[in-house]
Amino acid sequence: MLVILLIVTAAWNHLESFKTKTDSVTAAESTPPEDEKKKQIKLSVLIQPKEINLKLDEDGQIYPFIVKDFDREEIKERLALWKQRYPKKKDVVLITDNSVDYGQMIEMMDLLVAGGFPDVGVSTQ
Amino acid sequence: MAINFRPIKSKIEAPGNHIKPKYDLDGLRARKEAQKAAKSTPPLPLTSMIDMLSMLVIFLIMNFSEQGDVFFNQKDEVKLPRAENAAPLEGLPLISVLEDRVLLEMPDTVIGKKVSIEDNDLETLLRVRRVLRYVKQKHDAENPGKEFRGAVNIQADTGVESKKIKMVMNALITEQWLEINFAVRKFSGKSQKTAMRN
Repeated sequence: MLVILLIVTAAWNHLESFKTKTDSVTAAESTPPEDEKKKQIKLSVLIQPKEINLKLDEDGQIYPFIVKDFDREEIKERLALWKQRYPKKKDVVLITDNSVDYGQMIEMMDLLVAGGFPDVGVSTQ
Repeated sequence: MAINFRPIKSKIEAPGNHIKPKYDLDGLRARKEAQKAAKSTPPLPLTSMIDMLSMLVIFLIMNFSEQGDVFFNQKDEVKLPRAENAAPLEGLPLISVLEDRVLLEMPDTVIGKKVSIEDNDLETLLRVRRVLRYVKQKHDAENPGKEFRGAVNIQADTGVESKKIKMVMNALITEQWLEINFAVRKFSGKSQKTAMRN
């Protein structure tokens, strides 16, 4: 009986959540930290069916980085590079193609949080 | 006339366990008699009792939640995505995004009664939006000057198109529900995939 109860209730105990604060101003457009005020930095991740574009916008200068086949290791490396370059930056905008499924969106959010970007703003466009 | 009473040897005997001892189980009669003689107290099954207690303690620890009772009705058709770095789930109004409809459920702590609304019109989500608007208006009327938190949990199947999630998010933002949480299942296994699904 106890074993059955453990199995049945196991699903409840492992539920967690990702928070996204969706203000009228997106996370990436918010005020940057003091030492990064000189440069306007915007980080965004665009998920498309076949590739992911990790885009860095530095004062209007855009540096895209395309990851094919959703290689997690490559994404992690790029996020680590971003973190190394902008250690105080915590926000990233996540943009998904309409055909991309919810699982992929959450997987990307998971990678972003793990990479040191806990403020993930999901674009609803 | 004298009556001569002769002792008659009785033909009736007290019955045994079986007609013949050969039908007895081996040693059973002897053991029963030995038990009766010893009048021993039955042993306390300590090992199994400790096992039971350990399982109970583990169960209680697993069920312990700092957030208290989390309001969450997981739908059968929803397979939540897994994630490693999410935060504990809070008990908030729940929106379930399914293939053909959206469900809004609220515990009775929000407006004093339980709410369960089903909306099949994913484009407009009029019914859901009406309830969301009502809850916000009620909060604003009852708590003037106090900021409305507008927090909600969203659950959706892994395979649902993100387009539907965005539709729901747009409805929430329009109704000033700005704190959106995505429910996930905790993943702590080591056999993590090296690439995302396509």
